Amino acid sequence: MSYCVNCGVELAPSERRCPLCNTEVINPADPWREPSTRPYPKHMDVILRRVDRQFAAALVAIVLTLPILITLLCDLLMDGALSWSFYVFGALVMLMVWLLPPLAARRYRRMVFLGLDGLACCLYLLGICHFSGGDWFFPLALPLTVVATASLELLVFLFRQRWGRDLLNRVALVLLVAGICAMAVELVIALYLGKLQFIWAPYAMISCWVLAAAARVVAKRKKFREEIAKRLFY
Amino acid sequence: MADDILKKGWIRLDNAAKIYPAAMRRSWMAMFRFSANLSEPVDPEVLQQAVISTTRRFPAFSVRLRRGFFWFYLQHTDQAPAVQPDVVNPCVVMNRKENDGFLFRVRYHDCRIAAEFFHVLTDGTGGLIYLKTLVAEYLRLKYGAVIPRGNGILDCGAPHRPEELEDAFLRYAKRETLPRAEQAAYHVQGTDEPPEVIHVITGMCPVDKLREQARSYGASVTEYLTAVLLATLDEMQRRTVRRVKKLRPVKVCVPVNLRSFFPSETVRNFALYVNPGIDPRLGHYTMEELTQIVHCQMTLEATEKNLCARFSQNVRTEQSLALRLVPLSVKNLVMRLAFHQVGDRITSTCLSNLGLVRLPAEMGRYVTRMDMMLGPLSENRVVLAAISYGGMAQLTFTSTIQETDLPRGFFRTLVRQGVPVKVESNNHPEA
Repeated sequence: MSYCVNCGVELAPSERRCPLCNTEVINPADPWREPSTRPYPKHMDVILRRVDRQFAAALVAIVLTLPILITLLCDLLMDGALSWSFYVFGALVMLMVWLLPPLAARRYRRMVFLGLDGLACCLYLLGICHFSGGDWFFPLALPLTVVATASLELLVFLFRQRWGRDLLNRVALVLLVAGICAMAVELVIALYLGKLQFIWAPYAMISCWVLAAAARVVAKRKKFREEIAKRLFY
Repeated sequence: MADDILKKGWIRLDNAAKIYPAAMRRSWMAMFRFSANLSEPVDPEVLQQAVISTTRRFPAFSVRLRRGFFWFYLQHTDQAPAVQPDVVNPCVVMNRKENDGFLFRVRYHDCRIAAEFFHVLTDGTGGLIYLKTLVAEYLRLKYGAVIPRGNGILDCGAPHRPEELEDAFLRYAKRETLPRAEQAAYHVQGTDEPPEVIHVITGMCPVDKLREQARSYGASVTEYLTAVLLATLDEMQRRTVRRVKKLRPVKVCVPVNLRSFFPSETVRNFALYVNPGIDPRLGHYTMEELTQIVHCQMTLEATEKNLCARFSQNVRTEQSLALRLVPLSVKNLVMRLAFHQVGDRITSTCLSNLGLVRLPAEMGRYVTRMDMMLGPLSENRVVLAAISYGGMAQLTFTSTIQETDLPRGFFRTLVRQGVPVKVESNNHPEA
């Protein structure tokens, strides 16, 4: 009969360590011996994982690779060079980048995946710009994609903070970032067009920020929130 | 309608059961388990025969869960599940395909017979009736023991009675209802284990000591255990949350057997919950205060009128035409949301006390110990179940997190208060 010196509980003969505090049992008068039968067997019931993510990733890769190969082959056989197939091929590769890393990775690294998504989108747009003979990628598409990716990354980061888990705080954050985004989008477009003036973005930003401030105020006032919950209870 | 199961071959889910299939996930389903230790090792072949004859006596248990267009339903079968060797992780989510579609399983290990149930089938009282009947049947087949039937042990030779299969919620529901919404409570935080890992810690203590201690506070054993849980949870929250303003209510979900208030012989679900708790922002509580608070809250809430109004709300919702006409897939989403809002979120843990189990002397001489165990809940990762038999109370914590703060604090408090505790776990020394 052994007792845990930390917890004061008696330990069953099967316990080599106290299950409550993990302190080892050292009883010189009665050293621990493995009992002939333990309260529970060793065998563990394993939960069948119905969705094997890595299997799903392999499946998605195969399904997307087939049309890529067929499109490339058709284009090369018909034109003898890479032309129209890039649009299909690029879109499918971008889709692969969006889908495969989250499915295949052991840990779900949302920030990294978002960064990859943004990069894939940039490369696809660069390709379209190159094949269509435009000059809009660097002054327009690249900054807009960077703004969109950075905004999403920022929101993911802020949502992870303790105060960012509250729904109303999240609404406030989305509105705040949406306001900044609107300004950035109009700035990029204005620079591209060569006329530095803001027409619609300030109104969008002010509206978003006013709503964000309202959401934040409501989020802070617990009684007001409860009042709203009471009135809107269904 | 209750007798439909044999005539029509199917039965509707009872009012309480409707939420569980909608709320279950790949890695979680609401499970609980009863076990009985015998004086000799269990013979699996005899146990299988006992399971067949016992399950035949419980037609509401020999069912498989099926999807209808509007609701889930239970399809009756004449078969019985195959007995399985016990595992280190009891109450883990059930693979219904491997279990031949059954919603309960019978397991054995050394001298122990255990039955694990998905809550869709029954509640604690129904589960205990099944296990007692199964053990009685096993003893009859194995040793020829003549065990008087009655007091929660059914006669496997007799046909089932319709009242055993009724949905008692429907019989007793009234017009008066009470809303279910409550404020979210503090939840035990910790390092999540993979879904198949379940830690079990059982504390065994003499019932008379526990009762004596409870009486010294003017409370019942359930109220006293709830107060000890609240004290431990309160202390745990104060360790992690610094600002008093941020402290959340600490509440314990205590299932109440409705059969004590509304006479029924059903073996299906007929239980409701009372959530006694404290607001830690008001200051520190002594054990005297806690037991008084729990005692008063239980007395106020566990009344016939209050309980009836609360389950009537569920029955009214179930009977509303708007909900009934919604397809099951949409309904599942709504019910999952409702479960999230009024399920585990409003309590910090659960304490299910089945109380004192009495067995006839002819059976008691073979049964050395009885245990009850709750499967981990959807959001509350540490839960407690209690049952008393043969002068010993078995208090079993089930947890899916690595930290053992709650059971440690709980058992240490009992020891400090003069209740001797012997602990046992499902840990293996080399693990």
